[in-house]
Amino acid sequence: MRVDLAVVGAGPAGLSAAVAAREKGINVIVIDEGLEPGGRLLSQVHVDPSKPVTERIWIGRTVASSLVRRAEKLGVRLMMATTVWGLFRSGELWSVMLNSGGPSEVLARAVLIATGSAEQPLPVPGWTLPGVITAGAAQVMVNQWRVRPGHRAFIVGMDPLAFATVHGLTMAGVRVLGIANPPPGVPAGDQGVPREVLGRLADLSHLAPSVLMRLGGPVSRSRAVARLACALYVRPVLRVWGAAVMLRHAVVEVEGDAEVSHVVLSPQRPDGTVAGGIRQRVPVDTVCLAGGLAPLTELAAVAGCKFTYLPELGGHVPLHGPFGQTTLPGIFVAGNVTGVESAPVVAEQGGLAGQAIGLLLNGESRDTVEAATAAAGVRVCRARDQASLRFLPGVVEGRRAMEHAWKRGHWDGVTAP
Amino acid sequence: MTLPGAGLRVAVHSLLGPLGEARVVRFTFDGLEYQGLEGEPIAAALAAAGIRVIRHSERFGRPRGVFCAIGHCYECRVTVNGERNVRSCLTPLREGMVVQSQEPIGPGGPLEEPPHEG
Repeated sequence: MRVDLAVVGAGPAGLSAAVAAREKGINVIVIDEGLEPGGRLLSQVHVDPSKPVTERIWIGRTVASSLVRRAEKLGVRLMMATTVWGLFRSGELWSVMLNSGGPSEVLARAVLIATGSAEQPLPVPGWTLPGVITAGAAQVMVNQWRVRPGHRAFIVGMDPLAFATVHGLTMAGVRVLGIANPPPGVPAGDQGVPREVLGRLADLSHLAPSVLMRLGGPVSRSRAVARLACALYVRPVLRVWGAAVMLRHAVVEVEGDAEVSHVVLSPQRPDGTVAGGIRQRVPVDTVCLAGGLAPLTELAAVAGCKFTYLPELGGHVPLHGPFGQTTLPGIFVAGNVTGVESAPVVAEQGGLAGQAIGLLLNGESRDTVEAATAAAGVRVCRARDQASLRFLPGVVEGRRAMEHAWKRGHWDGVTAP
Repeated sequence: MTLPGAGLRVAVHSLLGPLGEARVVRFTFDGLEYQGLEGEPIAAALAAAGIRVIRHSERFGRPRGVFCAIGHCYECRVTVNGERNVRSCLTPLREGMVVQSQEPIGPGGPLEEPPHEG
């Protein structure tokens, strides 16, 4: 099979890109290993009380359905339940290698890698027991599969995804007993350090104003006040959607025989080290690990894209320019593979990349494309400013750093295509 | 409609509304018969049936279940209609499917646990 553009990933970036590219008249196929198009949109439900009434409730599935309808109406082909396992040069084209019952490869003039991000492991002792799932998995189960993972849950890690999980589980009728930090020493950076966690909660305070405002809002904007608040917050006095916010406790172990039966909690000092106090064993049947997200970049690496390390964007990311162009001609990136952000931002990024790829494949000059996509660039920035969820506090700086890296124009002898 | 499973289905939801209609199908897991919804991931049907131990690890025979639910981790792999290493979270359930857990391979079964578990 031969196409102009193959998009890998049917999430908000991939679908938006496919629509925008198809609108420029080029033929597009979207490939994804999920059973239905939408990617992580399908499991996302957010309530943001700080938004106007009509925008407060954001249901990812509704966004996905409308994108899929537009794509199908325009004649974008969607190939689901298909894994892309390789990306190789084939003369002037790219071979997109498939693992499915259908064709074994698609030949494309251009490929957009929109593979999104992956949750990072949080290896707490006992984490391999059945009943221990990722925070994202919990959302997939209750919001997409519509199956409760258990009856009594505990959350490890305090980031945006973790709090969204508390809310998601609660709405589905799962009792969430508490949310605490990972133990010191697990490869989670400053994730488990109460002092740092308190600072990050400021970014979430609009989602649960009654509680997180007091804990993470104005309080933590001053470092001195944050220190004091953290020092005083020894007992978990605050609750979010019924779950105890255990800012000064770590889940040091998950216990169970054939499956999860308890979490073991230990008090923590403000710097994250485990204090010698009394350990608590809490009976639960479900543990959700929130280790944060990192760009899912294997395919870009397999193709041979050059990378750079920008922790502000979530780790190693393919070097890319303003349209998502990479160091390889014909290979583009958009969405979380370029840096972790929330779906509304990602959709705008996808739209920009799709529009640019469409124009480039139609033979337009780079200057023309740059002028034509300026408005889309503004929309990306606006979506970023208005985002309810910010996963990485330094994402704006990270984007700027990537811009500079790209403008320098050459890396290890490779010149920008 | 009576929903198949062990009472873990989210039939109503304050924001997402009621569950959509789907045909109830039968399948077996390790020889026992269960019901699930046609087209849902096998892992969803197993979870709804209250089955959490999906396989045992190759070396030490430790229990494993769903972990990421989106195909990244491969922890939920099962044997479906004789085909090994199928990701149950990405494989749609069909009428009459024969699903089996995967157990330690080799003549002696699982290895003995190491003295100091990491």
